Amino acid sequence: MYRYIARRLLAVIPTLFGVSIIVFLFLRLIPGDPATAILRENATAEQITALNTRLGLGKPLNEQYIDYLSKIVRGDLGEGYFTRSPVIDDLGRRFPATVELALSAVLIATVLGIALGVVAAIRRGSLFDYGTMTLSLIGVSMPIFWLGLMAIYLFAVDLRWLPPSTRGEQPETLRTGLFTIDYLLSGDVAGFVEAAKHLFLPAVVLATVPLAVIARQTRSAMLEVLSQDFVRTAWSKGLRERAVVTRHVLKNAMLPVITVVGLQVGALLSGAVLTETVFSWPGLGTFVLEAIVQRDYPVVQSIVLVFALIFVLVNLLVDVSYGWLDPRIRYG
Amino acid sequence: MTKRFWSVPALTVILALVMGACSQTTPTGTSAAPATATTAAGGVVTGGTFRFGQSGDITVLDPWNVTDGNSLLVTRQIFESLVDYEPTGFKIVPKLAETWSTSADGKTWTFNLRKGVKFHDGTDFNADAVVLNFNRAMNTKDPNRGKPIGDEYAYWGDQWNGFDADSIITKVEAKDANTVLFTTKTAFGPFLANMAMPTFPIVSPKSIKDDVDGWMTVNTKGAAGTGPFLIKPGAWQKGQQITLEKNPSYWAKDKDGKALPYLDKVVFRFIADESARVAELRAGSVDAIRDFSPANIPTIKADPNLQIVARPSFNIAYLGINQGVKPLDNLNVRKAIAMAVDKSAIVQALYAGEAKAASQFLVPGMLGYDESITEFYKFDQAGAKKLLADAGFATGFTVDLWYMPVSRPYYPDAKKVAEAFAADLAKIGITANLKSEDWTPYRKDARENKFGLWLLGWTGDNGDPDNFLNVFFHPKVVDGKDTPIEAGNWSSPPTWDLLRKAQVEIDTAKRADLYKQASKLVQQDVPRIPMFHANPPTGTSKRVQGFVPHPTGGEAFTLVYLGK
Repeated sequence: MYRYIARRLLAVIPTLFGVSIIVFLFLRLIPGDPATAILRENATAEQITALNTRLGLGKPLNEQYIDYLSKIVRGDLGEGYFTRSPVIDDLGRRFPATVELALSAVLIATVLGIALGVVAAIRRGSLFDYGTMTLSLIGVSMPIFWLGLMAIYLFAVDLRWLPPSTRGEQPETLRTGLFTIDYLLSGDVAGFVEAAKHLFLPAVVLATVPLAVIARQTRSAMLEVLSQDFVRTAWSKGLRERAVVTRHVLKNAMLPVITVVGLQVGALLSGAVLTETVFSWPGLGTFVLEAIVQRDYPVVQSIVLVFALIFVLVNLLVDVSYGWLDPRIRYG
Repeated sequence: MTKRFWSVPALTVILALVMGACSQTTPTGTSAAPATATTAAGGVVTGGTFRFGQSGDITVLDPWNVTDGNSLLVTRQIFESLVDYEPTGFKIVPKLAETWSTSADGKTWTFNLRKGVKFHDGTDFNADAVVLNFNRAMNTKDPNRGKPIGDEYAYWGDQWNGFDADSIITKVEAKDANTVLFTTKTAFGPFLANMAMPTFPIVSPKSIKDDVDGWMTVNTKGAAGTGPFLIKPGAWQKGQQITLEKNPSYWAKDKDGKALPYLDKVVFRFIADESARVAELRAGSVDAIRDFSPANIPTIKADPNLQIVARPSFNIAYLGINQGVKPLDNLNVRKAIAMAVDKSAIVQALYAGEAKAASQFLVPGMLGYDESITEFYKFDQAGAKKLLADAGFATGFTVDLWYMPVSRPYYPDAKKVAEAFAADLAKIGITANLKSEDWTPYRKDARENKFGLWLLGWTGDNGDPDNFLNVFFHPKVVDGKDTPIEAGNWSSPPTWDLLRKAQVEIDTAKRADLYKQASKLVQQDVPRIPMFHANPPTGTSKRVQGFVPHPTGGEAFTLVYLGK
């Protein structure tokens, strides 16, 4: 088991290496250069060339890549062309915002999705079942951008229950960078409520698609397990419904669900770019978008690496959890 | 045991989420409402927090090293220049300098500084501080310059013709504690207009020297100016907001002798998405926003709590023409294009009326604006068709028409405007293929003449005509020789001659005349077509009083207050 994890972790390195090459090349293949993005509209061709040269973009691509690689292996992500600050500092500021949003969305999607899927499966054919599955179909096909805007107009502008965008006031002391947690840690209940209110809409919007997918997956996995012999045995032993469902059905149905949850993290990262944009949420999603528009190569390269790393690690976590859920699975 | 058991946890979660949403019934904001505001004589309310929603974070706090509107709006609250523009126009008025004079040859300027002014850090504002600030930008070897960053001192390079030996300003010296002398290479027409720019203000020498590379960053320990608001360490929360506090010892008083500024605090919130920004304003969680398209104007006007405050136009939207592409090298063809477009209809349809058809490349009210030119070319599609026929294109021709992928004050919705242009051109037989690409390559390709026709524009920096006409029509100098202008391939030595003469003329009447002559040459030759002057809208709560938008795109909030 530990050897398996160690081996998988080692495999992360070539993956990240590959990602770094692809991003590096793609950024330089798309038209437009950083100096044109940075300089004003009346900048001359000479000024643009001079600035690009100063940013190290005059060198051949292979030399540029080696420069970049030798820096990142030393943990130096460079300085943003546009942000003019070390990329690592900005990542440190932006990353917790995305973590807070994504974790909340995962939590909502998983808890609610599994609960809805389980109930729908057990009460198969009921109004609840049809209702949930219809809603989940709508949820899967909903464009996040549109949903976000509608949510803002309904809950923030019309009803005024929730704030329309951003994270709200920053806590005085940042420990985790997650505003809700930091307010709780400092015992500031009013601050926590305010932060939670800012978090609520974007988290729910981001959770919509994964929630729908998880609910559907849970339902179908539950139905499959419910029809198996050991479940009939459990019922015939006279076990109570709660015991049958939790101890026998749910645990066996979880395997495909966990896989889907893991895959949804990928969808969540891309969804975060859209959700953060709609809600002006200052996380990695908005940051990478700004950086692409501004051709801020060091920032884009670093964020894509972070996204790739998260994706790889979550997949590893999913694979490891199989062994816990199904003792028959062995890691060789 | 009923099977309904399973509905319980699911329903509980749903209920909890819904109740979480429903239990909050008060409008929310990130900053406390101005509960501490008090009414003073004359109806002015002092105190309170003004929350301004802008489209993005600032880059750095160093006003000499920023070029974007978001950064400059923040820095101009903190730092002040020697002179300023009048509140709604470009007349030069005193600021940190009370009076000034120039020598007979126009090469020496003397500024008498305001006495008793202190920086936010308690140090004295004086002639030495002025000298230090200007030397820092002018000399690339200056020890106070800081480490190189992106577009280093870009405005200095643009407005003062470069650095070191290239700089128009050659020497800045303190004659005594309150008198500064500037020496220039030649007489320089735009001198005072440049001096008033928010990019050349006076920063506390202590702030700079204490942390020469870091004072302008988010980790600043001090970025002191003399302005109405000040910034404390930690007040800039990157990506989120920046909070400025009242400068309690600000030197200026209002007309009743009352201390300024009226507000206690200004919070700039960074809300990147336009829809979210409008939503924040409508929800009452910010007091003012800017940078939104005309499509949102009716929504804001319809809200009983909100108002539109239009900024006087200081921009020009134009149609670029590449004379390297046939048949755009034909003057009659260019004239026909200019006559084909119905500008007034587009102003109503796509600018919500908040724009004006342009007759020339200067903005009304500016020095050198030629009132006698009321129309660039009269809208006349029949006449345009005839011109095309005379030029040998009776059956028309096909050309690429490029539009910008981004919203700019002059072209808030470039695609729709391009469609309108194309529809008008189709009526005289010209088929315009609409094209666009990403913003960064767009600017480059326009300059490198990869387009036929293209949409672009300009917002002025300092109210000086040189900052418009010279930007558009100066020749590209190669090995000391004039060659056609970069974007468009237009060659006009007489125009270049006029622009150069105007640059070194300090008699304003003579300068105005030179620019008028240049505008007439442009009108005759149609190197580009001036289209619109748009009024960029600001949306504010009706509580916001004393907010007077300046044409340049930014203003200090010294006189702003929040009414009932």
